[in-house]
Amino acid sequence: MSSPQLYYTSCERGLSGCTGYQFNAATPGVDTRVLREVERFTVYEPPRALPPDEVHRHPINLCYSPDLGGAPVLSRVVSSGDDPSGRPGNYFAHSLVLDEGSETLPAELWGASFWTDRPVTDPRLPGITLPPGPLDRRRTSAWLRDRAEETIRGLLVSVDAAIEGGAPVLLLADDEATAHWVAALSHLLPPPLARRMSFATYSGNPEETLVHVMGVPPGTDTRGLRGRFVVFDPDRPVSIAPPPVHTASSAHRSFTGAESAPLHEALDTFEEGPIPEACPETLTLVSLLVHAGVEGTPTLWAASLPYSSGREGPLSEWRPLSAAAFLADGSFPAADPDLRAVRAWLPDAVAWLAPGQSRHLLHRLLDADPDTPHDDDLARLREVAHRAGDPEATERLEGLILRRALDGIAAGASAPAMVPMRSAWAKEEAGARIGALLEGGLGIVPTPDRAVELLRWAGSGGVPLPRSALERYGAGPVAHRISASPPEAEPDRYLTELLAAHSPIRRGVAHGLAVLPRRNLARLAAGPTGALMAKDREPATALLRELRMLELREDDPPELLRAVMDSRREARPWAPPRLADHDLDRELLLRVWGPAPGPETVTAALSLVDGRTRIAPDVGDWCARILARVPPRGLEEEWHHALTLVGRLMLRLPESCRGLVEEWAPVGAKVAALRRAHGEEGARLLVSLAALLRGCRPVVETVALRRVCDRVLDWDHRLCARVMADCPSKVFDSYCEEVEERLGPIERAHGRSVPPLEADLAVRVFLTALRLGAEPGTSGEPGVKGARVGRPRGGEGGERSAERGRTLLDEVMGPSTLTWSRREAASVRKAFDRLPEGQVFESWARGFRDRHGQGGLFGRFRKGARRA
Amino acid sequence: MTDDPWEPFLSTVRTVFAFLVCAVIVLAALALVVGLLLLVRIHLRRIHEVLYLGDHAGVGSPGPEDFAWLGYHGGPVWWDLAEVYRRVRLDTGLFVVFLYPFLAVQAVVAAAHLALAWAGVVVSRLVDAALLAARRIRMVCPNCFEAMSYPSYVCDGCGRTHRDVRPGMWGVFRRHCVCDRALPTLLLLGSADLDTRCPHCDHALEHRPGEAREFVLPLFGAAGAGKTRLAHGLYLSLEHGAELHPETLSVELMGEETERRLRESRTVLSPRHRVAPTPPGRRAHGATLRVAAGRRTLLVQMYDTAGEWFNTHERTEELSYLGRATTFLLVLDPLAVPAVWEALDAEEQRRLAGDRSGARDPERAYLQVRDQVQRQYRTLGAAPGKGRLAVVVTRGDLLAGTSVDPRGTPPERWLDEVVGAANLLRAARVDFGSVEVFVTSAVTGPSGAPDPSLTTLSRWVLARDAGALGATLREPCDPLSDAGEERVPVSAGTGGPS
Repeated sequence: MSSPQLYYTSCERGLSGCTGYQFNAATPGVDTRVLREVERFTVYEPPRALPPDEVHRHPINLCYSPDLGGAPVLSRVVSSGDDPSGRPGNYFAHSLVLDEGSETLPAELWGASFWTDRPVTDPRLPGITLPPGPLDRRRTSAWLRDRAEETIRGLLVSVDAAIEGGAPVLLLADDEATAHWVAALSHLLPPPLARRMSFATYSGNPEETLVHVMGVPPGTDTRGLRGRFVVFDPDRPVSIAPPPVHTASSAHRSFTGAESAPLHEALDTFEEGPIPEACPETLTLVSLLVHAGVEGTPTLWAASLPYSSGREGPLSEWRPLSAAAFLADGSFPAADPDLRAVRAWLPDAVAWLAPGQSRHLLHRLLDADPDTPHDDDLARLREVAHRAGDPEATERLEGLILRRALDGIAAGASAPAMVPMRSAWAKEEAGARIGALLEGGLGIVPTPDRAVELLRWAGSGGVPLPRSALERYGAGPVAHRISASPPEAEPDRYLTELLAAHSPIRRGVAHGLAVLPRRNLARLAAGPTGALMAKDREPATALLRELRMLELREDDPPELLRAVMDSRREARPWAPPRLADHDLDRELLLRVWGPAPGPETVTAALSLVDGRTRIAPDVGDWCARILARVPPRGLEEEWHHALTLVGRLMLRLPESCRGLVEEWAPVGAKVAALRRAHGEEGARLLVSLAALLRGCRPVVETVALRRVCDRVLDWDHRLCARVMADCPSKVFDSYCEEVEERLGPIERAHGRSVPPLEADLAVRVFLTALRLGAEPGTSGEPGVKGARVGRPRGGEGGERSAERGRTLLDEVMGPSTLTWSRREAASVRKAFDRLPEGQVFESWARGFRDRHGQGGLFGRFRKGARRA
Repeated sequence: MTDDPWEPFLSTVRTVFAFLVCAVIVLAALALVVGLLLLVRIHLRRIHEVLYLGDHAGVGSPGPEDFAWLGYHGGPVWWDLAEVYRRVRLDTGLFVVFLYPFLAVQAVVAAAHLALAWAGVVVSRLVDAALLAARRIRMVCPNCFEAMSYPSYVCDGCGRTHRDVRPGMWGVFRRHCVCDRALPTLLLLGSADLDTRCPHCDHALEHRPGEAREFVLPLFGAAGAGKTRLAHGLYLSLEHGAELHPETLSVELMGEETERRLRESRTVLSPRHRVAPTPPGRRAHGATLRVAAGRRTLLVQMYDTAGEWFNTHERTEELSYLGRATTFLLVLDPLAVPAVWEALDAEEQRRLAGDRSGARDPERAYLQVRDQVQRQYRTLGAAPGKGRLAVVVTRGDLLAGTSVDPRGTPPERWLDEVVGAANLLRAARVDFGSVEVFVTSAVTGPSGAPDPSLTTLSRWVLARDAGALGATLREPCDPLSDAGEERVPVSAGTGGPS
């Protein structure tokens, strides 16, 4: 494509129609704004040091601006002597409006044959097709051969800064040397950046020349310009040691930041003007460019340009492109700085790179160095992988991220923010890593706080936790810590969280603690640690829960027993450690009810048993021991029920107990019949029962008699006296015990009200005693012998009857009256009001009390307590 | 007299009661005084903390856009008052009511401070504006040609540019840059000693604007008419006058740019020297001269713009300095006028051909500038016809001795009859209030003295705005006494200032 041309000079005929400076000729169609800017841009002032008429000695100004009225323009301005009116200082500017897609770099056109310096008569100029420039890379390379690399580096850094708005660069060099320097810079810089670099090979007034690089004749006094320009004197000898270059892949090796620092120090010292501050990336790329040389950079940039967004600015932004090209090439191992540069650049670059490019670079990065990248870099690369549609890289990166984060947490670092993970594989890997870490994968088993962090972090990311590893961690470090601390000690918050939030850990802890002695384990279960598992549904912790329940005994014994049995039953399918073999065993019963339980405990325990309950064989023994003992008074019914239940459940009982059951069967039936019988039938049955009881176990005999006598007390006193007069002594003794029990002193239990005295029973017993032949004694005498109430008895039978009556009065009822209160005594007297024996009772009672009770002034007022 | 047995007892009771009442009153008074003293002490301590120690987070540092600290009257005085009240109220609770009188005193003091400060602001600005108006000082940037109400100044401590330093909320007599350097707020107070910048284009102004009256002097004419040479001549005439009368007149080049352009005037005006054309690619820039005579000072801004700028309306339009000027110099090359050239004989034409410029029509530049001046006057609201124009015929030395020698003929008549510029002069008289014609020779004599025609022109230029300065210029001498000159100087002019 041809470039429009413009001729500008002071002439008599031109486009303005007036004499003076004007465009002598131009290719039609050039924008007037471009013309105005070209006129401004190409002003030429010859050097003051040279005579105006020595035009041939005046320097040539090849100047270029990428934006003159919106177009890139290259001009060659030469001094042309006098103007048509004879005034000196005229100049001729030949300008080309360049095509932005042109391959030729502006500086290469120095010395091109098409430049002209003469006005023409025809104001219409044709466009020109640019030939290759004479100042090609070969010539520039040859010219640079003897130049100091430090100068090139300094120039590159300064020009890069100038293009980005920094101070312009002033070269103290003649026009040709400046052109070569500019060409060298153009060849070294990335082509887009080179096209942004404006320059002028000569400037007579630098402050009015708005370009990035310009030349001024050597010897120009630049003292007044130092603050506003970066002044270079390329001919000034410098001796700076070059920065080290890696040799193996010297054409492509990059330099680390550490190597860039001395380079910058060197740059600061060798030139006249202040070298702009440059970042390590810029310095690294500058060193790479200098090392690659003018002839090597096309390859470099050709490889880099495919990665360009087209918006790269300074050299620091080109640095990742060169590193990416090198990394993608893969001929040599990439150095760390290259990898760092690509890692930092790729997350943004993925927006304009082809997906294939991004994936390739990503895999190269991961293959080259998966371990060094910072966590943030990995997170960004993961985003790159996702945007590039690379599930494999995504998995690798997520695995790396998770592994890195987990290792860091386990090593003591704070947990990073969890990024959402897309790969199920990565999550599984992370889970496995957690398991390994919990088992000491880093050489040390993580403490509970680290484990908590690990598990929290994993939980927030949905990482599946390895149950077996958690169990082992619970059985190992956690159980050890718990067992090592006092049972009453509160576990620290990390242990608490571990136990509360993770059932596998609780399971492991249960296994771990199972080796402790039962007593220690019980204390632990009763303490704060056991509280953490009290509400647990985990079968493994059933033993701890059972021990805690038994230790604390917060429920009633039957409920406690039920809870323990349920716990055992529910946990049994999972075979938790040290769980009892049976739902109900003797040890449990002893823990629940202690060593001396009553028959009601048998009833209560066995009532919880159903068809699924596993009952230990020693339960029968426990029952037998209880039932073989005479039950406390009042528990005869319970004893009877317990014995019935034992027989019904067909427990394995000892031989003695089995005989007890068999022995009780007829007796119990007889007792039941007697309790249902009235009147004479009762007396008859009592006789037969007494006969049946001969030879029975004492417990059978005692229980049967108590149950019978309890009923006899309700009989009419006449029938009762008749029966008691003839019955065996055991029966009578049992009767007396029953009377004593019901009328005598009672055990006051805390919070239990005293049952009212049965005044009618007292009347019936007194009358029975009288019937038996007891004669209430007079004052000063013990029981009145021979007193007869009702039918007198004669003979040996009568004597025995009277004896029993006295016994009943003096040894049973009398002592009982001493325990009565006045209110109770009054109720008995009132019950005698309707009976003629009331006076007898009154005199007997008074006499008995006078004889045996406490006398004195307040004796009458003494309040009976009916206390034992 | 009755003897009441209770009387001694009652008397004792009354005495004790009276003593107790007195004691209570005294104690209450003491408590009140002590309490009040404590409250006042608290108040004074808070004042000390806030006002003296500056322990007040509410008064923050300036923002990124602010270049100066607020003056105390520009807000901090109220903020401090509010802060003191807040702290006292926190310290004393409900007892703060006892301090209201003291707080009111503080508020009154603050208000008085404010009143004084703002009165100072108003008065100082009025005085400064009045002085500028009385001295007819209008400031124009020689780079962007915009009028400045006040220049911007650069802090000599940190280099920040303060756009408007005049008294206001940032200070009355001094403003404090964020670097804590105190800057004067008015020219009266010495702000001109600071580096000055144009508030519109940020161009460095090295002529100390505001200190003296500024005089905008545009030179215009066709390309090659001799504008640059005339500018050098005007400067040299002034400098020559200053050399002759150093005790009364001084001339100084202001700024590097002016120095660079005019420092070689004597060389440029040598008869054999040809002046390089002014490249039209360079933007016009006023060369500023500081001309002082006694206590009177004038800053002359000479605009020597390339003649190509007067060829088209679009380019002339950019020369907004034309609207700031009242005196204009139309530079005319007589040799370029075909009538003059054809009046010369062949030998004269051969001899002068190399000095003839290419612009054949002097009216073209005139019309462009006239239109632009009228347009800008209208825009600025200036009265039309208030300007004056000098038609300066250059190359008078070359015309001497030729068949069109202007000597002996009044310049206006010569211009009318020889040059044939009658129409131009008529139009100029209509367009400008005053028109003078000068025939000048922008050359120096062997002694280096400028041609007297230049001095005449300079006197006319300065006559209206600084007549006293012009009067100090010596009457033109006759450089013909300098032997050996090829050029014949012409001392010509229609007379003195009209």
